Amino acid sequence: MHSESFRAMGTTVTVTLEDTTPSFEVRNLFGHVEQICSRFLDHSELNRVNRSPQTIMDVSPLLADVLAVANTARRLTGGLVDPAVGQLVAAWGYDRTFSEVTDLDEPPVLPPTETEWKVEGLRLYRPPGVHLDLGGIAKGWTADLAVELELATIVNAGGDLRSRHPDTIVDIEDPNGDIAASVHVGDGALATSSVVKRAWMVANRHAHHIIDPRTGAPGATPILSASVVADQAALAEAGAKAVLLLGEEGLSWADEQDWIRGVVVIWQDGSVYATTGTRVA
Amino acid sequence: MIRKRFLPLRGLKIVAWTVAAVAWVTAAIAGRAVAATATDTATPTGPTTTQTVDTTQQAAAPALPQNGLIVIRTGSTQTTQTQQQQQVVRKVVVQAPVRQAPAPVRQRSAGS
Repeated sequence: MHSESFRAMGTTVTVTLEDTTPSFEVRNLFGHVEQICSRFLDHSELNRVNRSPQTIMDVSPLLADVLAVANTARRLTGGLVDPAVGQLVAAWGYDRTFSEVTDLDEPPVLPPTETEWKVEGLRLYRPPGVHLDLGGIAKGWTADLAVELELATIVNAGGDLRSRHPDTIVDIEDPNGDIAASVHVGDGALATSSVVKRAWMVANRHAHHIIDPRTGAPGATPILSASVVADQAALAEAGAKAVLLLGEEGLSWADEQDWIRGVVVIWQDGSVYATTGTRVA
Repeated sequence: MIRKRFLPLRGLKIVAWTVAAVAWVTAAIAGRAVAATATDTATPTGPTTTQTVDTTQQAAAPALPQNGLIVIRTGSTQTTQTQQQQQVVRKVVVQAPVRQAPAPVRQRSAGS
């Protein structure tokens, strides 16, 4: 096997392939999904949808698929992970590719808006003004698709990875770059959400990209990073965000979810905890 | 004459001082009893003032899941003896053994 890396969706994607498999198909897949689901590309289908004044519209099969997974993630996390926070993420300063994000002097003041949306087949129902953000979900969804189509053995998109190799072990890094834990993932997925990465300052306070829909602000949590093992990378990504937002109760919540195989969290004091289902290597 | 004139006054003084002394002793005893009662009832209110929760403080550790918790690493901050004992209690070692693969494929994840 061999590995190749490339940039896509604002992160580094590392693809592990059988020796004879070319990587360009995975590159093309990531590029194609980015053209449709990115909120940083003005011409993307997602941005056209977000700008539209229509409440009901038909979307492409690919966008409908990603929205369906996002809807599943919203249901499984009790609404904690909801793409409808797109407007809030942008208002808090993350309205451009992360390398261009700058600090804000004041926190945003936004009127409460309706965030209900649904997708049925190719039809999207969404109140005007609700901006959808598919960032993490789309990344995981693409990694899932690449592996399910057997375009690659392992796809690691900025730490959100999907594998079909039975001996895959993931080393989870702490904020210092040291290995906090090693987890056996095997044929499955692992995703990590962190409040340390993609962070900036708003009114001289630490802000990050994981918005808590309950408060409309970056989640206040004692967890620095949460890693979730699940069957699919898109759901692992949603699970990791939910654990992070739930803070002290995150591990207990994850322990009760049958779709989550295991969780590792790095606490604010540097402690590392895992649920008992986690196969720590 | 003089003796006759001062005798009733001295008698009054004796009576007055006696009454004053009895009143003072009675008041002193009663006051001590009230103070003792007040101290008894005040005792439980002491710790209440120390239970004030600073809501700005973050949780020291995660809530314990029903199936237990694996403590992989403890942090660098100082912990009390009670906290250390809790961590030992929380350490669960009933996880399934990992199959030793001949060549595990290692990946890294640091979050996004």
